[in-house]
Amino acid sequence: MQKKVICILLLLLLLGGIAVAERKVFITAETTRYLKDDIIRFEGGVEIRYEDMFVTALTGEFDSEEEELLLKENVEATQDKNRIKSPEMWMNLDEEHIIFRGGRVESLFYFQQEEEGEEVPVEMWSDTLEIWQQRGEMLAKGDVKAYYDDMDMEADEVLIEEEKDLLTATGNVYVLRDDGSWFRAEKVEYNMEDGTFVAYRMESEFELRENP
Amino acid sequence: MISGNKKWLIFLLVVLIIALGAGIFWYFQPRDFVLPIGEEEEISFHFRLAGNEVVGWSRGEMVWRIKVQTIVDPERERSGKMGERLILKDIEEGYFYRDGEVFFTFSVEEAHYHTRSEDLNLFGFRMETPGGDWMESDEMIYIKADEILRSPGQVIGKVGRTDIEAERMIVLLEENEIIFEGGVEMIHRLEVE
Repeated sequence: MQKKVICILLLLLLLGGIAVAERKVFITAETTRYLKDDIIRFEGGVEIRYEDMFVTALTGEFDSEEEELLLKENVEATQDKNRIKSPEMWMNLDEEHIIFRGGRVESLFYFQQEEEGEEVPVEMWSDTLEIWQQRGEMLAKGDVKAYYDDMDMEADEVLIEEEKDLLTATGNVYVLRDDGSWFRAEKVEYNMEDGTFVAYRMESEFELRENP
Repeated sequence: MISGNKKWLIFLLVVLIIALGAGIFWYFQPRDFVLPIGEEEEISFHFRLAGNEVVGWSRGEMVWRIKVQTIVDPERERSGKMGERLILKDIEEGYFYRDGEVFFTFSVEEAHYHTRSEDLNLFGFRMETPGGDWMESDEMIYIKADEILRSPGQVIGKVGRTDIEAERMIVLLEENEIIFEGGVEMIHRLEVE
């Protein structure tokens, strides 16, 4: 009985600790202006640290009431080895929803290949890049170009779902592999774990080789 | 040989001379003039002493008010005229106003009021707003001509859910804007659900 009570108390303490755990955003800048309506504006050498994410920019604005952050000019975000460069970054800290925009967005992500245990980089360029941290999803839109493993990809949109190890490219998809083979499709689903494709409405060119 | 009476006479003379010298020295010694607290006195057009409170005005509106026990005018005794710097000591509490309402209250170790510029230097400054925000700095200067509060040195404080530290600070009173300068460090706590 005594053990039961101790276990329950420990569980309550643990749950209580999780419930009150504070999430903090660390901000440094050369100059900071507190404006009306809870708006804070940063100028010069802006650095933001939030959990394992580190972002630098030249200027920025933070709505402390809505918990929305807007960074501008030479935005560079890093999280572990992942890196994104963009002219502008918007982030809702509460929902952990991020949008990189304002020009070409250059990103580099590393995905773990479960079978081989290797980290394979995905290099990507797009007009916007939207990230939902909690869902582990990212959506690149507008003239997307990506380089992954042995292939170059172009598409209107690319959605990466980390949990499913799935990359879905839609709209004018063009894939060129290192061996020179290529295909076009309206939609391509690429399994990043085993390297298999599912292509919809596909047109392709590849070389057939005889087995020696 | 000097007789006993003469000895006493010389002793008394010496004591008298010392006392007279001390008196003259004390009389000509420059000393602070303490304003009569508790009486109403129009010190300047924009600075009025009423009871134990001094009040600063700008454009017909009260800007600040300080409850004080001692006001020293170091220059008054020398020139016989009001000095350009009054020292406010034993301050109980101070208030800054905006639109007729308390903007923030402050505690301060000592304040210097400049009668010509009507500026106010607040030493050992700590402010608190009704909403729980606070700010501390070694010196805060109210510059009347610019309607600003300026901290030339380090400030620390809390605004909303944000802790702040900076090398300097300026408060634009009319614009309701606070500017932190030089290595600004902030820690914002996100709302806990």
